[in-house]
Amino acid sequence: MTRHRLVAKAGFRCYPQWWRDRYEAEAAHVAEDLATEGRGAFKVATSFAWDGLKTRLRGTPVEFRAAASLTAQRAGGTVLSASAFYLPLAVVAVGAAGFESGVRSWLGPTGGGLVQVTLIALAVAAALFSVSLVSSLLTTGFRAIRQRNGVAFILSCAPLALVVVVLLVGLTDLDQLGIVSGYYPFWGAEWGIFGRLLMFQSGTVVTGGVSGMHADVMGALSWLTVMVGAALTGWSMRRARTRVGLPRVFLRDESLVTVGTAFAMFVSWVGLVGWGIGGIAHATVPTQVFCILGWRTALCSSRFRLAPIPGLAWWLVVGCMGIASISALFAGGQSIRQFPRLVRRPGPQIALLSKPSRDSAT
Amino acid sequence: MVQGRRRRTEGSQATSLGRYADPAVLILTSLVDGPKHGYGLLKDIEQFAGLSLGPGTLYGALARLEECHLIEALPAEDRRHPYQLTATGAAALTDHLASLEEVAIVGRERLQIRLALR
Repeated sequence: MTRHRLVAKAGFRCYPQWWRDRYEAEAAHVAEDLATEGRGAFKVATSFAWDGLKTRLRGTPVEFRAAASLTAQRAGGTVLSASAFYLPLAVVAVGAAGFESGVRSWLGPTGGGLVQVTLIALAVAAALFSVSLVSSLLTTGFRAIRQRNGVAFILSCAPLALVVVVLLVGLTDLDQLGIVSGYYPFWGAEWGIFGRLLMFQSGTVVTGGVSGMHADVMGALSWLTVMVGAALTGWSMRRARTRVGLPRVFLRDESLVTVGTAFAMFVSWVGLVGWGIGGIAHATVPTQVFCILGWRTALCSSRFRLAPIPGLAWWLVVGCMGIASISALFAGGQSIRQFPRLVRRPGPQIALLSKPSRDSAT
Repeated sequence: MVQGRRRRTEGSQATSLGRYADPAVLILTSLVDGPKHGYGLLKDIEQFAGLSLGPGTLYGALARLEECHLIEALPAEDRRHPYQLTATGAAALTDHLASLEEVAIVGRERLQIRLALR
């Protein structure tokens, strides 16, 4: 790609999407012609950028508004499917916030083995991947994706199974099953490596609750999972766009949701877990749900008119998150009250890198 | 009342060129002698008016004219859409040029009086 084209492309970014869909290709052609004629790339880009801002102020022409409303049903369906997938997660979050070991014990979970970490990684990656596929399925149409992208069609059935699995896991005592030694499967994601690094640096929070290496490995892997998931999402959306003609606006919004969610997870880990307020750390799961749903809803509603059912799903999740957050704050308050007593107590419970046993946890 | 005023405003916007008159008139004038694509328009305007329009200005005006149905895009040739004048566009250009002509006549007459008084 020539420098002229790159600079002109930067100018096109100032235009609204309807303009880019309609005029960008031919305007790029004109920019190339002007470049061969010797007109400066910066001047051309500035001209486009300035007019782009003016076009944004003018608003969308009526015929393009009509075209956007035609896709509203599909967009609504997509939001519904994405929301429906995360509803069980909100249920899990509500249940987890009041879980006994998170409230009463400073020791918390003892970290997981390689199998558990792998399972968590696979589950999160599958979740992100499946959501993107379901979105593409509904956006492009069932028949189109079946005819032109067989693999995507098969994989897009995964979320249904995943929802059932998440519901079962969320409602089951994992300790009794012997699958997880301590807590629910999102603990590794909550107690991330970044939170732990902050704890080490501040030197104030030494709860001895997390088994050093295991937690770090889990945190790192969960981060890696998020990144792989984000990459997979981007890849699948790009593939869907090129194969079945997904609108570019949707690709961009999905990418924003994915990247934004990863960022919010980072902020919530560092902000909440890093301060060592174990109970409030549970709020990170609702935070993830909130971010994914909130941004997705906000972005889609700004592009398309939302159907009522996704709107209802959204408010349901907001209610669940409210309950989860209050519960988590209550748990955090209890933990804070216990904190001074635990710090004064010497021994393995406040050792940074010692792995506490299950007995000492109780 | 307000609704009526709004309707009148929308109607007048659809046929008049308003504040987009200058580049729009140049584009419409250029299209009188046949369809042209973006770069062709820029070169033609440069030739007959001695003005070098920015590509952003050109596409801003093209979008506006197309929205008002004063021009229409023909099927693309190698990613370039040639544009042609519509009947409404030709009528709008005729009206606008006539009003410009009236302004030009009045302006010339007043200038002559002013010069005669000196």
